[in-house]
Amino acid sequence: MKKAEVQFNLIFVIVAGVMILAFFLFFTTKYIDLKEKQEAAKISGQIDNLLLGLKFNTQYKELDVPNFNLNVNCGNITINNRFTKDLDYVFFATNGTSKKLTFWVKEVEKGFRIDNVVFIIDNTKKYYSDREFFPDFVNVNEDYDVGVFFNSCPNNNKKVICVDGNNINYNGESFYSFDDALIYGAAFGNFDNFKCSYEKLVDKLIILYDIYLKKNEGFNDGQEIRSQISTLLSENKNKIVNGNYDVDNSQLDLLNTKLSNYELEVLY
Amino acid sequence: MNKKAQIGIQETILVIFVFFIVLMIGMIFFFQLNMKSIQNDIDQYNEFRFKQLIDIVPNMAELRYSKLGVEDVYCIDLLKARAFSEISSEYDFGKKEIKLISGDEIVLYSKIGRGEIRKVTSPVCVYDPRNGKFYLGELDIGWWA
Repeated sequence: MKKAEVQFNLIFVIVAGVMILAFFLFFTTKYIDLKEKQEAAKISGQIDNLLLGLKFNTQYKELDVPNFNLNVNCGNITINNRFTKDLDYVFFATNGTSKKLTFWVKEVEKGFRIDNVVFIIDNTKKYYSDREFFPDFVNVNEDYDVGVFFNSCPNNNKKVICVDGNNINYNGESFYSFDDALIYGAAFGNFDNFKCSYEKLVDKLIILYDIYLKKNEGFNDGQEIRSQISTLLSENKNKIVNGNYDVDNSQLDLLNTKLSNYELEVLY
Repeated sequence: MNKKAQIGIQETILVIFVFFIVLMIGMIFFFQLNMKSIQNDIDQYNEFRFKQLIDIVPNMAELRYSKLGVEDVYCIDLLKARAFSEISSEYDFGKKEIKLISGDEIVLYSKIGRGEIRKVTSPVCVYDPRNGKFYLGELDIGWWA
């Protein structure tokens, strides 16, 4: 064989070999990526199915899945860094790797229902409170990862939520608690997620004040009580809009009950 | 090396090369099929999420009828629905149109998209607090995929 022919064969074999190897590497990587995406989408589907059955009731369900990674953002979660899923509801969750998640739906209300929020609880973590606070399905242990304290406020390197009256102290910031669900939110959600979901709930509350104001205007009866209701609704709404979340809806509740006592249609 | 051997080596290289080309085509085909199946799964998942809205919308606190804080009747409050339709631009359900038809038509939410629209309709209980009567309404949800 001539020298040139040998060189050509050699170059041909090397080039073809590299191309084939590159193809297989590319194919394998793509295929693994695809399978991981498919797996993440499957988990996401399982979460959807689970929440569909939960959302009308305040109850919990467990999801047992292969170890997977959860990244929590404001309105969505990312599973295994592959599949981002928008959640249509307010939720509280934290980043991490888990194979056992508990989904718990709880109502948030301020006289009237604001929303049903979802807690995504990583039960591989240990939770603790200095009073009876966590429900049975939460992994409670004195050697805690997350602590909720009502009587004292320990200073350690663990995640500690301190509740002082109606104030939730989380990560050096104070949040007004208008429902216990927000304390659970602080315990189960990471700081950014908690802050974001808290703001969403406040926005919803403002919207609900608007809705009830408009609804109240739609009635022609009981004008005296209804005008008092409208005044209170506006006052409370303005307080919240101005950042004062310490609003009292008990007067509204009384007027609402008064409507019922006079056999008039209630507002909520 | 004699000529016969040279031809033999070249033939082997060619056969292996052709074999790998066929294998690569096969793998691409297999990959495409997988992609199609995953795309179907994604479509089904989106369809499922879309149909979920039929359950989610009437259950929203912004729309659901309640009496003294108790939501024991699964109905949409007509006055709440009218109020919601005026402020629903603050919500983001994506490119969808949600209508409540009960006597007249109330557009609860509308963000028009392009292309073909998919629709799902469901009967829904509607309560008019002005006269205290319950009606049978229709909830229409349109979705631009």
